[in-house]
Amino acid sequence: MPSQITFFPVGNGDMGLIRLNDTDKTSILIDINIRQNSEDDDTQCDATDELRKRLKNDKDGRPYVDVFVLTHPDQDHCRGLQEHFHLDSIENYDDKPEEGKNKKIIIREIWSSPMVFRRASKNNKLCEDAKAFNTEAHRRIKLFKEQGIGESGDRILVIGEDKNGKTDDLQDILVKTDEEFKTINNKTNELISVLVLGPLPPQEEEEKEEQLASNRSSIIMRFSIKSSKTDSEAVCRFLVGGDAEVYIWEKLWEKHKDTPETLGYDVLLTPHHCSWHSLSYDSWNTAPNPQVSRDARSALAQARSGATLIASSNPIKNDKNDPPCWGAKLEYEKIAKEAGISATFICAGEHPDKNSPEPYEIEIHSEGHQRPAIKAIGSASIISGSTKEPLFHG
Amino acid sequence: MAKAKKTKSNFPQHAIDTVELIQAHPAVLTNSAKIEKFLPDGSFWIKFDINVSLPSNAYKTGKSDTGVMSVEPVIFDFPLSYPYRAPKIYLRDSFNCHLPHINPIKVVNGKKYIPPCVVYGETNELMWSDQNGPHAIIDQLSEWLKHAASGCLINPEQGWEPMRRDESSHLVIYNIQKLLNSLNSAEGFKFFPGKYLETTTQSGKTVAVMIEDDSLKLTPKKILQLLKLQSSKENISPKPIYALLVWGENIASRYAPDFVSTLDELLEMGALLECKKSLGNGLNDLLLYINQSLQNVTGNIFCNILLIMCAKRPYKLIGGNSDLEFVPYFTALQLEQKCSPLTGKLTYEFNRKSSAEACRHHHKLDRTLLKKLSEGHQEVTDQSIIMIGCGSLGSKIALHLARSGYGPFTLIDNKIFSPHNTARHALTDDLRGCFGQSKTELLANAIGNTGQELCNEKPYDFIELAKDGWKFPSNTTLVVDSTGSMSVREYLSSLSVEENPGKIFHAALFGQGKVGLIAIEGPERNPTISDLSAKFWDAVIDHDEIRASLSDSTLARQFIGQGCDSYTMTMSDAKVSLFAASMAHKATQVLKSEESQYGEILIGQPDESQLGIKWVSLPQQPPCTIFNTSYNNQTWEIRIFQDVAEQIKAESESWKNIETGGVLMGKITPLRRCIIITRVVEAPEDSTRSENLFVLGTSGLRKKIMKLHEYSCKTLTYVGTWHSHPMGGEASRQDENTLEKLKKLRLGYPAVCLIWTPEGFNASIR
Repeated sequence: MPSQITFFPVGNGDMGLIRLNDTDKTSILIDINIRQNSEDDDTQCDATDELRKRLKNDKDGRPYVDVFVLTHPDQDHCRGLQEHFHLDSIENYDDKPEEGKNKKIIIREIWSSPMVFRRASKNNKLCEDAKAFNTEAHRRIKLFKEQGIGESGDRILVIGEDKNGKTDDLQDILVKTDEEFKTINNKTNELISVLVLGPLPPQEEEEKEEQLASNRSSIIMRFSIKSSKTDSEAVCRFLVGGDAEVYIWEKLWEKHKDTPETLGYDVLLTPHHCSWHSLSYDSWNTAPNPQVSRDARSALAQARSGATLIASSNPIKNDKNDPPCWGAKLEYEKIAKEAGISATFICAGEHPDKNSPEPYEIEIHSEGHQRPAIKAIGSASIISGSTKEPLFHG
Repeated sequence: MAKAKKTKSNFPQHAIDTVELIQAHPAVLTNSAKIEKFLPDGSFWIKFDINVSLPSNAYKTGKSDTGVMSVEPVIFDFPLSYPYRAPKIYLRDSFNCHLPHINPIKVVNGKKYIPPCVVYGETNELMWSDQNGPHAIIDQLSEWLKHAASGCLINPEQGWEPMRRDESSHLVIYNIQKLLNSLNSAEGFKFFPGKYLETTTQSGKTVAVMIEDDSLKLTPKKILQLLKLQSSKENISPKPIYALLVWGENIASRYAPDFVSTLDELLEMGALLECKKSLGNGLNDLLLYINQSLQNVTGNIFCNILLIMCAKRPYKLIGGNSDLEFVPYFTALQLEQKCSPLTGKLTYEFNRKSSAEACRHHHKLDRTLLKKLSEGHQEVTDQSIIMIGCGSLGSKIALHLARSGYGPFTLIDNKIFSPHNTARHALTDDLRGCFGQSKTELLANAIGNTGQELCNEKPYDFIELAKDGWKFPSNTTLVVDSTGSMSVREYLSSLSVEENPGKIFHAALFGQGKVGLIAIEGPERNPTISDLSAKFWDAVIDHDEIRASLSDSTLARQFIGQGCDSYTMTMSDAKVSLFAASMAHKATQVLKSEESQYGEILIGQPDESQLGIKWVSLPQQPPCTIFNTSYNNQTWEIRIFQDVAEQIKAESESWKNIETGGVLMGKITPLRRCIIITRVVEAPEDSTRSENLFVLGTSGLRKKIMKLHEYSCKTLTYVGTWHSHPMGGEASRQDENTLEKLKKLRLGYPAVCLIWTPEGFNASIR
């Protein structure tokens, strides 16, 4: 199997999975939004089922991800965490869940940014899943402080250096903004390197710090992925920025405009579910003539040839809604167009059709990333419900 | 516009509709679908362009490293039988054909087309699985092209995809493992004997070739014989053939779909498969023998040969454990006489335009193949199975087992196959109209047809045979008794484990196929099938439904000839099969599982729909407690089922230091001097219990016993009494008196006196 990036259609929410074609088949899960399947909505993609299909089990038969990154603690980025993931020491793992429930997924290493948490909790109350994540992150940090880098299931990377020496005693597990690393779950990975672009460091001026918080400060990462060890350089750059909004993207452009390739990508998860506010300070809904911020757009427009821009959102309609926002979609389509005819913008909630979306799977090959084949079955199934007749034997 | 309309209207509506359907597929380029041609035979070609998902950097040149373009032209060749038959798919002739999953190249009017293999299995079925028919095929093609573009049509971890041969009309059958084992050098060639059968079908001539496992050394004499028989005008079928197996030492790591139709092209393929040298040597060797054998012959001749090239691949083949791929061709070699420029003599040469046609390979029929298809694995172990009785039930059970790769078999039955047997039997007489072969011989032939080595066939009465000194083979695993004979059941039950090491599986039908019985003995022949069948009758007492079915169980007299009748049941073949299939299935479970600690009884009855059989499993039967005791100077055996023993113990203990007791029911077999106790009957109300005396009452006892006797279909009777001695000790005077009194109930037959003491049982016969 080639390396793959999967975007699960989880409505207005994020859930992405990188699976590498390395010896360990390393998996990195970025945010989750696992909703309860309601009975009247059987077209909704069963995210937990689709996720579990793609995960490996460890030698004890327990499903796991090597890494879970939470870009920021909003509910639509961590929904279902407590229900589906094991958040405690491995010793307390339940191998016999009650009937009808699946075994919980083990997170071997957590990537978390306490700074993002601090900024988020300033303006909003944390949801239960976010609190549970925070508790687990604290457990792991405490363990590190006591015993050093822990075992799989106890590991954590802290993303972003905080102020007032808060992260000073975490040097071995700290990745500062603008640093690039290759150590995944305590092992140097041959196929991936991760550049941390955000959260932006703490600001001296309170007003600026406030701006970062109100602009949905998130972990922003650029994953550079090789299809195999023989690739001389990464063939797919994947940029993820949580819900970061316009101010943050402006600041990023300001910082990197002289080396714009730092922000270059082959695959972009368009921030905040294709929100207008990642591109503009104006309201899409009320402003008479909402304007795009040139700098924020530039930060998000470093698409390389043949790039794929993906909105992880509900289907995008030509209306006043935001997110997802029709205006943002048009802007991203323009960006795609600038990156050559083969570049494209896609809404995960519309693939292969709006009524029964399926995970959108990108493969990584030596010649670059490859989108799914174009198929018709998805659209046919709307007409008659189920059209696939099982083959039988005579 | 008007012209276009006219052109369009020249085509039948269904072809035009199909164009629209194809055009509607999201991967098909707008306005690209067109009817390319419409042939007089009613088939038509639709050409369209399909958007291919390429790796992102490939778009810069519009072509991937593997040569796949972002837009690929495709032809769907719709046969006259569409929509019941799917279209064939062709890609452009310049498409990279060194990719895996490509069918043999198609040549039409001298033009090459590349047919991708987009689905495992049948495209026809794939098309019918989706309401939009061809859309399902385009979906698969879209996925195929995507994988082709990124070079991911196969995954080395999954294995090397062997050359596609699904559509070849010729078939060759050989044991691949034997051929693999015969490759004894780095490179070389070998000849193998075989035979072939030519059949003419609607689509032309097809050939089926069967190759033997062991190679042979060619001689001019053998070649002469081969050429004679192959060219004989007489209707010889099958004809002999030789297979030439060639192999090289270098790795053939390049994919190529089949393009071979002549000897020339076959040599070209040989080079691609890194077999060129061995192929040349092998063909030269063959030619040498041909020339030696045809020294005084003139005129052109031909020689059919099966050529198998063995290519060494860079990794293991999909679904196999070897990296060697066999590529077989049926080759009709034309031999022409030419004058040698060196010697001036006339010698035969191969015509390089001789035809060569690809063959599909199928595994040779053997137990391994059957095991794989029946149970999904190939582990064949020899488990000697003795079939006693090769009648309707036995023949069906035996063939089910043989078809699942079990064996070897020993068949025992003294009957011959008569016309009336045809009504329900797995077999039919080989010599139609000339009955009289033994059933064992016919069954042995049928089992032989499943690829088993010869069965051990005993067309004798089993008991006579055994008394004559025949011994069960020491590796006997299972003995299937389907004789419908009580004498055989009892005889089998009397054998020691040394005499018969196999597990006895008793299968019987009752009441015109209303009830089926499976009894499987316990470890060390305890409980025996005789015990279990008594327990079956005991169970019948409590199962009204089964009893009702059994009440008309008498065998009917069927006249099968003047002055000849057969006592048998009226029952259809299908009904016997319903039971036989379950019984065979159970037998395979016994063969597969570990030794059980229990005896088993299964009772089958038609289900509510009357179409299936509902099987009820009685509680597992642990070994019986056995006493040997003397009566009238002869040894009798008393066998007590464990549930009976436990019931007695429980009741005795519940009365603490008071004596108690009751009546024993079961089966008495004076011929074997054996009493089997299957049930305890509660003591009548007028019984008296005290610390050192239990007096069995008689009130209603006779009536009760008669009822139980009736309900057990008159198989079980009163066999004695039991009582407890809580303080220990043997039978007392009073006990003897009681027994004497009760004996009157059963015409003087011996009766068991069973005494329970806290130390255990104590049994005697009076």
